[in-house]
Amino acid sequence: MDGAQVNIRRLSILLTLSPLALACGASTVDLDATVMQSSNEPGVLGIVHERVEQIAVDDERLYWSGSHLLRTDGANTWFLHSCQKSNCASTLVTYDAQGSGADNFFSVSGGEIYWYRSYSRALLSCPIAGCNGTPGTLATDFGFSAGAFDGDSFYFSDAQSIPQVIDSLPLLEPGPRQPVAAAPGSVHKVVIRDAYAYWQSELNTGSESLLMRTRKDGSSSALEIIANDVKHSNDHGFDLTTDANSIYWTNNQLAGSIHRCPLTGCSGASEQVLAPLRAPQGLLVDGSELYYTHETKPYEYALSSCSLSACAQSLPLIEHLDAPDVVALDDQYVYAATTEQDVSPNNFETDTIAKIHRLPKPDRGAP
Amino acid sequence: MTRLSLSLGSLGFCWLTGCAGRAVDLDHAAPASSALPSSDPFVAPTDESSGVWVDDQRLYWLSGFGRVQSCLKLDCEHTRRTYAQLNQGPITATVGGGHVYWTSSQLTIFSCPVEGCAAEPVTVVRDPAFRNTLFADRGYVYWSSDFDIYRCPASGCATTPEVVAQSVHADYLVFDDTRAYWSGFSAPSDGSEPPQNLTAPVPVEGAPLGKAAPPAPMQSLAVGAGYLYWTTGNQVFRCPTASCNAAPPTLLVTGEAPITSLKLDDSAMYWLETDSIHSCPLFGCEQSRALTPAKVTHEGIESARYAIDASYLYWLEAPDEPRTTTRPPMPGGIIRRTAK
Repeated sequence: MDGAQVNIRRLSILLTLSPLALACGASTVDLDATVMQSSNEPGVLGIVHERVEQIAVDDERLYWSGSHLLRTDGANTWFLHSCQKSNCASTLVTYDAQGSGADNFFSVSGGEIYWYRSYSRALLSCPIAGCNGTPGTLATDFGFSAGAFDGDSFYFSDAQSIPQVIDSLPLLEPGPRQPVAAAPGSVHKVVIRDAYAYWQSELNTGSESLLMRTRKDGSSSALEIIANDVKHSNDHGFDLTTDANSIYWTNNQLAGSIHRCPLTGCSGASEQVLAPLRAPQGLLVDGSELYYTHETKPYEYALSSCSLSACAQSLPLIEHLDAPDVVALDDQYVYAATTEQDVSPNNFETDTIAKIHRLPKPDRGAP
Repeated sequence: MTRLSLSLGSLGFCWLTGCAGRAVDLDHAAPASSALPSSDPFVAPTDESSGVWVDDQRLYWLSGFGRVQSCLKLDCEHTRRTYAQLNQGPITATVGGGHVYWTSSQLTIFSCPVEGCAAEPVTVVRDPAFRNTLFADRGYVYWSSDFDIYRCPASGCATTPEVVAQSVHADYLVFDDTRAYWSGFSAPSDGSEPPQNLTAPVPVEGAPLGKAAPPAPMQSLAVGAGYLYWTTGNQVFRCPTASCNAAPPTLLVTGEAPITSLKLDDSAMYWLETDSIHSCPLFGCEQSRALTPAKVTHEGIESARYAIDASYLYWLEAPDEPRTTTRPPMPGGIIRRTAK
């Protein structure tokens, strides 16, 4: 799954989890003690003894999923945590711990955290304050190649369906899946904006992809082609995001670029926002600012940003990201996880220690 | 009907009706001559090679065991140089513009000057979407990636490689003094089948030189003396590089079997046909001449099964059966040398 390709980890030694923690099963949450350390370094919320795979923030809390190299003793290697932004190390909550988590991902809304647990092929939820027991189960026995949450539903491309379809599952209470659309080709990313589901669909391997949309409630069988020149490479992470007017994506090849189209679709070629850019893999739009993650060298990732009105490359805001997807925003700050260690697939030996940073957003009004 | 098929139709009509007047460079069947030039085993590489290249001074080869090597042609035995010796073997290699290039199993492109590496080979770039074939010209290495044709200097890429052409896969890429030409295709995004037979020689900057739908895919491409040459099926065509779109291409040769690996020197063209290397003059090709026995290897790097310099043809002879030794992981053939 795109954005999670870096999750594949190999056999090695878990550095820091206690034996008691390692003995915990899937529903056990008492893993907090040695996961997070506080830091005196300015701008560092804490030091995490995991490889951070995904982060998110809300008003109060920081959420992340982390992983370790796979172990031969079956110990857990995937974890889902949160902490209060103001005092992270002492407010840690762990929602889940699993033996593997290559395709896991999560979202936070309405006071709940939702996540897909690939090991049990289940969609789960807990209150953000903590599970207080077994996580709630919203759906089981399904898999997908791409998924996205909005406040009410989880939308996903069913990986087992040929041809692929996009379905939705309700989040607020367990319920049957609802068909959204037939999705020709291979779907690698889905995003939701207002009344529509948007997705990238690769019909010919090695060819340019289509960007399509349809109504997310499944009320229309019509598929609209938004763009037909999306360059999706399986060799790097790929991302789609939207703002009120446009949909943006990463042409994620080595000499890559960021392109966009109006939400209603391009009439011709898509608009180039920024190029060339080495393997862009993550996108966030925040008002008039575009944040993007990209490679600086093989398997070295950085976060940069630009003003959408005149996007140009600049020095990265932060380098040595732990993974391409480990960036989140709130009203004031940018959050990112970094490490100085090797995060390439060639690292079979050493578990990762990451720093979670909080830095002010760029001030475009500054001289 | 395409421009090329019109041309072929005209040629067929003229053959049937005997109107041979316009076919100055028309094809003729290419029976092999009975007297082959003598071939001698080239002295340096003793094991199988999966590719061979040559320039004015040196002969280069990719050993079946993953060594990228060269020697001076005048004294190969005592001047052997090793650029790389990789455990898993280079995937491919090429030589051009004073540099040797090769790729590792990690899809990283390396380079060294032909005179020899400094302390270490230069890591030009790592491209996980690298597609099989390297091309080299004047200090640059070129390759097809997922969607585009890239190039980088031998000294190493900047953060991103330079995009030579977008949204095209190059199966063949050749160079003259000012331009690059390639054949390839761009798969449609609408899910329809890629046009397998489409060939599109295109200069680096400018409009396509021509698009044609010949009866078989393009199998090799060469440029020289103001003309672009290519092969499809059993045939060799050419057009002037300055006006390739202006007229149908000229059919030069019709062989008795598929023609591949076309190469040029100043006066002749060379190709592989039925495991033998043939040649014919660039102008006035009446009858081709077989230069080797039908023992050229099927294995190794397709474009590097033979190489030519001013005097000689260097080619990879398929090992005799049954084999007496274990074959290398990258099989090919034994380098032979034949006077042109």
